[in-house]
Amino acid sequence: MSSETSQAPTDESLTSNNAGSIHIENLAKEFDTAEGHEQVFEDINIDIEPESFVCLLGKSGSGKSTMLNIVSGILEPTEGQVRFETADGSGDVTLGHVFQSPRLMPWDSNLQNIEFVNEDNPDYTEEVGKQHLDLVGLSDHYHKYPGQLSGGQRQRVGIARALSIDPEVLLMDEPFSNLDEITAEELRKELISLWSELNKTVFFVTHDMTEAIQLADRLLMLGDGEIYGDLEVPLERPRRIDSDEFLKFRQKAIDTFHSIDED
Amino acid sequence: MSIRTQLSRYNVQLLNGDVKSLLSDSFARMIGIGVGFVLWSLLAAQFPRELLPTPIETVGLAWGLVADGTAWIHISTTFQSLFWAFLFAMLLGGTLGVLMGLNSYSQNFFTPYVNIGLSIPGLAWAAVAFLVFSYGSIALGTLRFAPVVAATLTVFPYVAINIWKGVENIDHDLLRMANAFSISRRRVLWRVVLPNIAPQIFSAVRFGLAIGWKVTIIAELFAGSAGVGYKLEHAYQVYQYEEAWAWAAVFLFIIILIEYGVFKPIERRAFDWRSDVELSDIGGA
Repeated sequence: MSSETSQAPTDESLTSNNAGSIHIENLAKEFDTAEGHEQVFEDINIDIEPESFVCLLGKSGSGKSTMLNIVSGILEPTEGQVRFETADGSGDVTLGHVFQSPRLMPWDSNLQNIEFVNEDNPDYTEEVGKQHLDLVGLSDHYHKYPGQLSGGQRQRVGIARALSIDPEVLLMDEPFSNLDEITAEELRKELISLWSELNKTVFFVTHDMTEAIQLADRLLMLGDGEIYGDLEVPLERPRRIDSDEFLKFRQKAIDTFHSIDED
Repeated sequence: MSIRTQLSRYNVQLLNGDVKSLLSDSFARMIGIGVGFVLWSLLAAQFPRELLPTPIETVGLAWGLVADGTAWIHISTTFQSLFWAFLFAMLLGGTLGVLMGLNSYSQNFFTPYVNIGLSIPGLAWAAVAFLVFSYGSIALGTLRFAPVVAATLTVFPYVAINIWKGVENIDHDLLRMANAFSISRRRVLWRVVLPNIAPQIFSAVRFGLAIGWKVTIIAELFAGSAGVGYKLEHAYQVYQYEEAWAWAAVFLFIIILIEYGVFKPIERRAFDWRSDVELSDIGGA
């Protein structure tokens, strides 16, 4: 493993916010099209516990990203609402975002990219930015530009950026789908390590079943406009993808995933 | 590009044994200028000095204009016209460019004006401005309207088309990222939008000044009572061709000064990240 991949110990000062819970209530979304209205999903109800890791699975076009965008506030639902709860009961949460492509500004250094999203954070200092880059194993890359990094390193900066605002909820939209499998596997392990240390609630969208089972406590399956599968992942961590338990559960999850095709 | 970056580039070239391109990088420009001087000198030897002075004689005459203060008076007049023309062209072209980049209605509305503007030569605008503004005598203080109007009308379509393309090609993923993190509009404008369209703004400024200079001088030839263009025309009228060459040399010197004293340093500073990225050795997960 390269020096970039060895993870720095987590500094407790990096996380002061508790994890938040997500409550999706009677959610519906339709888009106007040339032919009329297209219903993406309707009457979706999901409760996500604080500090849990939930993966939303679905085929292309099932509305996974639409749902994530509604949760993140980028899109308005047609009906229903998304509510957050925090330990102090305020419901006022900070959301961290990690995108499919890292969406870093190429003219800013990695440190400046992290500073950019901390506009309203009075506690942000350059040191905080550096600590977050340390956290994702990029200690030697503070002042480098994203274009000087590999795809995996750029996604690490994206994760560091999202964590730097100390979010109660981390929203991740297929963040590893553009990476090669070896790099993606490495980042999955690091994400799990970060999640278990920082105690954030993670809502992760993916179409990769193995990835979902490796990461999540709970799998939600979206298709035909509804949540048709909701499975707890009963596997101990760390999870080996070649273990019998993993393969057995994976088969069960795949059967559930395809059950929608049989209806 | 920083000295460190330039040295790294030379290092890479040397390590690759690419001495030839290193030499051509460093000397091609100088050799080009040298060849030009030699050809000019050879040509000058065929004509009387009053018609075509040698490069050294021309530099001497130009220095004379600078030393006795004549050059500054007329350069400042030309500069004044250029400044206002450039400002108006940037405001007009920039506004149209932003509107055209933001919505298709504005794009359809303004495209004919921009296309027509691009196809009309500066010389035509100079002649029209000369006629409209009563042979160039309409002025505000020392500022003559004809050169300003001619240069503004010639330059604004180039500015508009550059800014239009810049705004049209803004990276919407970055805007969505900023929206997701609830970044204020002002911060998005300064940190995302402006750096995103900086190459097009830079290109518009460069184009604008380069074309603006020429049209201002042409308009002064027609309609000036002061300025570098007026002095050029005056020198020809009184058969002082060597003085015309000297004015051309002064003009050339100023353009080189602006290119290497203003544009290149700003360009290096603004786009330094690109050269750093080009030189980097990307690897690792």
